[in-house]
Amino acid sequence: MKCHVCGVNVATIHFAQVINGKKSTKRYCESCYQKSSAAAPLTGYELSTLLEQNPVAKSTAELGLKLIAQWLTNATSKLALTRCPKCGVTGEDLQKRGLVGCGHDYEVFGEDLLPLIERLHGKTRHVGKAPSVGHELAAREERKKDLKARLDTAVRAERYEEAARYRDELKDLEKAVEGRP
Amino acid sequence: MMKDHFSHSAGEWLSPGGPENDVVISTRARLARNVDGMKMPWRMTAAEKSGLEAMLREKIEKSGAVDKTTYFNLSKIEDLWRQFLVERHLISRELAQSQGDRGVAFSPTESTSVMTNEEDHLRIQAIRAGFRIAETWQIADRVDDMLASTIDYAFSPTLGYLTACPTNVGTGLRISVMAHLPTLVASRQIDKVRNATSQVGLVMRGLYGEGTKSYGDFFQISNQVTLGRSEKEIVGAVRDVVTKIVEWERGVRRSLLRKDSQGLIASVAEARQSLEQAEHISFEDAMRRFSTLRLGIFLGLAEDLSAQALNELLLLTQPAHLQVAMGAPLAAHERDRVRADFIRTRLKSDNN
Repeated sequence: MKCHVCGVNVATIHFAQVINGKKSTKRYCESCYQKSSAAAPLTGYELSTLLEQNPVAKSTAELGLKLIAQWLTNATSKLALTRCPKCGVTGEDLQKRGLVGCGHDYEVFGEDLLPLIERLHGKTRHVGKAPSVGHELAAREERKKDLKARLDTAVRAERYEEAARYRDELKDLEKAVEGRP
Repeated sequence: MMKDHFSHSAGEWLSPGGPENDVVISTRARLARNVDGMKMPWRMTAAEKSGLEAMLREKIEKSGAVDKTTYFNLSKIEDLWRQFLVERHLISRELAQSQGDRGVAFSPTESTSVMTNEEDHLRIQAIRAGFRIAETWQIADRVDDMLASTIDYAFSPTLGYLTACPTNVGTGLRISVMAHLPTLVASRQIDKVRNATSQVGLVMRGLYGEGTKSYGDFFQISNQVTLGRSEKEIVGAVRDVVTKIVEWERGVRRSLLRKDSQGLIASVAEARQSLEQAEHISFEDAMRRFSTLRLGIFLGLAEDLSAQALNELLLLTQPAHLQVAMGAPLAAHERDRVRADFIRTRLKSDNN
């Protein structure tokens, strides 16, 4: 079957959806899928469907592999040439395994991994626990930086409601930091 | 002896007393963690893996993070025992089937465990009977804190805990609830349920069988997203959705009882009779009947049978458990016979 978006390429990725009792199937080729997927994070239903279409993938992790492989086929041309200096993993290894070779890979392959992470989680920034006070403070500073940047962008674009949300969250963060002994 | 480490029946998490136990069998919180500056397990040589496994084992045992720790290095035990551990939910299938030095530490009640050298260096797990999300998270959290005091975790201020798979970065937290939803299945509403879970970023899958052919009416509902939501938010999201699903299932059970109690009584009786008479039975067939019986017990249609007995049957009739009980590997048809014998005996003794 051909991709329903471009009508040209063979569709290799299928999503079944049930909306109001009506079942529909969307079929994409690799490149149209990448383009469409940039719009919205992957839903749990899509993930469940993918799990069912891939009975071999018994866990979300294995599914992550398929997503990563699909995703990285359209990755930046740099990917294949990049290699992590710490663990030696290449972009090709990443594609085959769907796993990073070490923590540093998230930096080395960031250009390709961050969009994938956004696709998987809908977010790119950690919120929550950290292993130590030092880590927690560093994470908090990063989030404050990020929030300030978003606040500026929102104000300039006159999205004041959104800006207010960022401002409130910044206030909460600053209060929390001050409250620490 | 390996056998001595396990209680004769089931781990604590299969005990029937948990909250909402009519629908929720168990709750599990899992944390993925890695040691800073080291390669992920798949990237290590056998020697590197050995070194890391030994180091992590020592740290786990010394930290006291797991109460009265029992530890097994899986490369040093037989495949049957690995399968046994999978059936008891102490290790994942992935850990059982991979190579090299890797292990699991667990408490006597089996409600807390830590895997080493799985997909990540450490996988912390807390599992409890019934619907206990806050509690399992707190237990896992505490184990994590105790280990963090002796191990430097791989962590980034932007991406959080760094994991081998991008699907786990951030909190590294996956909360799963095992639910029994026989009437939602029977009334063909499971797809609706799945849709509802996906609206809030959760995933639902059948526990036994593959793809759309899952059997036994047992499902696992877990969060999909681990980054950008705090642990508290994840706990809240899973709790809210599962609460709704529990009410949904109960609602269908009540209405079925009103509209077709005869039909229910008949199918429960048939499931029971089938189990009491079969001379050999596959795991799948047994599971289908257990599911009906379990529903019957909670609807008060099988009063002389206990939920405890049924939970034990669920665990002990699995392939590795049967072979361990018999003390030898068995071919499939032999297992089916042993399973049937075991079920008949167990049902008779629970009756008295």
